[in-house]
Amino acid sequence: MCSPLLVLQRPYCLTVLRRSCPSVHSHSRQQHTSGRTSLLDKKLPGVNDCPHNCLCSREVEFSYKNPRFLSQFVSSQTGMILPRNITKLCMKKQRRLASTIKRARHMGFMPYTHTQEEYLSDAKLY
Amino acid sequence: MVHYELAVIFRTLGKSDLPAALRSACGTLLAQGSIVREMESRGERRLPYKMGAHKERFTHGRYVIFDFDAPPQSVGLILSQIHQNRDVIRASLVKSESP
Repeated sequence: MCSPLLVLQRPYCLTVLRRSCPSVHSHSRQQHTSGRTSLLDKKLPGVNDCPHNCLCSREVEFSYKNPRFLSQFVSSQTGMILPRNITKLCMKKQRRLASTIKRARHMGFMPYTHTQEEYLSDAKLY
Repeated sequence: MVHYELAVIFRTLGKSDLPAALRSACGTLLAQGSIVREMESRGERRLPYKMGAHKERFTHGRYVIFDFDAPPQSVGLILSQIHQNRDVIRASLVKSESP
């Protein structure tokens, strides 16, 4: 009957719901989004296509004392913790990582609003 | 006895002042009945953000991590005494992640 819902998530835009078959509620929305197909097909800079979970597969232990490691999971421009769709971590690891980063920031090992200059040239997650 | 870690950021001290500061911090720990396992220096470097302590603002500091076992009742006393130390910019006590 109805095709399944296509939920596209982009880090900078609001979630866009696209239904293949028009219904009463989404008719206007579909008309609005149809013109944006070409934009959504292009690869936006914040997209991580890697299917692997980089921490679980390697059994890495992280702590607040290692800000260099934690800075990989933080935006290089704003210092914000990257969301799960970018880091590709399982919920457990993501929560632990987030609390470790917050701990490192509070204890004075990591900055809040940026990444340290020495770490900017490190290898990126994606 | 619980395994704790105390991450202290000392102000930039000269060669003559640093051992005294470390000794006083260790002394505080030992006075409360803790067994200090390790004292690790993480070097002197620029702080990730300006920090205020003792009515001063700091941009550089020395990071030292104390690894110790202590009775949980003494944690409050240890922290209050460490914070009173004028050489300490910031001190955080956490339960150790390692067993």
